[in-house]
Amino acid sequence: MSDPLDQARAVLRQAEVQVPSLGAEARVRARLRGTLDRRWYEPTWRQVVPALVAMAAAWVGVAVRPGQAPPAAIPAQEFAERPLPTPPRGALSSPSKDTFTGLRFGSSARYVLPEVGAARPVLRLEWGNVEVGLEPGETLGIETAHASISALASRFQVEVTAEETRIQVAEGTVHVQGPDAPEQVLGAGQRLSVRARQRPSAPAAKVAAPALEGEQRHTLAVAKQALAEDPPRAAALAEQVLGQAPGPEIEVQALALLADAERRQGAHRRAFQVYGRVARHPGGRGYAEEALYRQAALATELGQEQEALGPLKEAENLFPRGPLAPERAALLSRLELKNGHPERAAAALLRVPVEGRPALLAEARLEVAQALWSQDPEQARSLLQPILSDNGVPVELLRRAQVMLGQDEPGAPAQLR
Amino acid sequence: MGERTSGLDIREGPGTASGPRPRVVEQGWDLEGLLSRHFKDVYRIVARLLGPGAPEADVEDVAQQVFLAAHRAWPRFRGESQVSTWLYGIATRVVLTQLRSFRRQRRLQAAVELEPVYSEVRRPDQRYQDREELQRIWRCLLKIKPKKRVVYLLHEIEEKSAEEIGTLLEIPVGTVWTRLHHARRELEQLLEKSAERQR
Repeated sequence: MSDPLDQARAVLRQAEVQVPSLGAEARVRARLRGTLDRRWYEPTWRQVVPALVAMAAAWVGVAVRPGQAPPAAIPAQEFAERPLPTPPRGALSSPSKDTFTGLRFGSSARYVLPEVGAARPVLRLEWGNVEVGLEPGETLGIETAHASISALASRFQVEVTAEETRIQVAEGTVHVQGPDAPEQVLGAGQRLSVRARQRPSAPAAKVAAPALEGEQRHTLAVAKQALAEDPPRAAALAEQVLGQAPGPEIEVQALALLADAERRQGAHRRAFQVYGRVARHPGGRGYAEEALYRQAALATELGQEQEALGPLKEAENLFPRGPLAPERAALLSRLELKNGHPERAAAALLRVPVEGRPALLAEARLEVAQALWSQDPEQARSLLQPILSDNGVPVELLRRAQVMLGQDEPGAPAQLR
Repeated sequence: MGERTSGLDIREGPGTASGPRPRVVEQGWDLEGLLSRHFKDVYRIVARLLGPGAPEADVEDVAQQVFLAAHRAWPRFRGESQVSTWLYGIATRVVLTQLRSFRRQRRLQAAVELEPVYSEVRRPDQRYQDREELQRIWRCLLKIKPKKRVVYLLHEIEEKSAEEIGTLLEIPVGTVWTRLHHARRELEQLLEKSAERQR
């Protein structure tokens, strides 16, 4: 088998596998119990017949309406990723907590989808429930027999019965207009019931985080998803959150995302500055070591070695035994070497308190030892010794170290180049 | 090839049709017991097959689907293999079905880019470069079709034999070898391309 496959297999086998977090089993148990209790997967005739009737009615109702697509035109994967059971009346189930975006209809829902390309998409929900997840910038209107709902960048659930329309908001803000009542604005954690020819009931007390914070978290989740494929969009979303004066926890997440997005766009100078903000943020302790390392790496790429030294030294002071110590030492040694200070480069490598990254460190040690050989062979040897005793060092680097240690005349290293 | 602990131990092999059926079958369906005994193992195999960037919500969601599928399939379970083996098979098939969802696939691709970059809780033995390498490999793996990828992971990482994989996924052994061959070839090409880009 070829080398890259062997290496890939080794890395994959060594990788940690995600373990369930505290409460994961309980969550799955509760959801399973709820699902099994509803028995939606094994419907009885009492459940099947009304559902079939409802489906037939929906089909006829939609098909006779001119200019509107029948349900058959719904791309199943897009709009019915996971059919939800209709919750029992009076107990609207909580919208899911994931970062789902799109529309999920309950199994008995009757609806007419918005027209493709409509400037203001409007969903007509006639019966049943729908879970809505809108990305930042997306808007959707929902018309029911009892209410007009409009939402921007939010996640919420709507259920329509014969008597009323119930709305429950998980994230963001949703505007609800009843038939003869002023518009109500619902935030995260609020729910509202609108009955025909009746004023909307007062929104229930908030039970979740403030609406803005929920929306900010949602925006960040979407930004994270966009980071890989569309860094400019991720950057724009992160900046949008930063412009809303978020709390420290959200702010540092947004800054970290912004820095990553800028780096991926090639805006190294800007990324350098934002990583600096991350590293110095009061809530950025969890991100600081990596942010400082990124700063140093970016400054090196920009050819500003002097500027790279600051973050490296700061990180060494703050996180002397941090997980990135080997990477830092290797980078610092290269910078010192480039500045003509092989003895400082050696000191940086000898200071690494944590072993690890054997190949990276071995390469740096070889490079520095080679530069140091003529002026301080003893120091050069002490740099090479750890390579011989580290099982993780690739054979090629091990051989180079052995050769250097075996030929310790001043001219020897040059032959190895 | 050394044996590795999989949690759901397939090496116990099937029992005989005439032999005594496992006690658990005689006891009938016991969701609570099954969850208590096997949740962690199901979660582990689901997480392994979805990849390191899979959000916890996705892993939980798929693990739930596994137990739901097990509940549906229970009447057909004849006790010819260990319950753990039977669940392992269900888990791999459910994951495969879930991976066919374009949206989930896209989410995983995005997540594998993200997850290792910033993790607030870092283990001291988790090296930045190691995580980047793992990220690079998974980026390549996620470009391979799920049906091939799952066979590759089961064989190379979970160390299942082709016969075992055939039984788990309910496909012929010849198909297992074909998928494995293609997966290896495609992965090798992708890794080489990725390494070239890094140089």
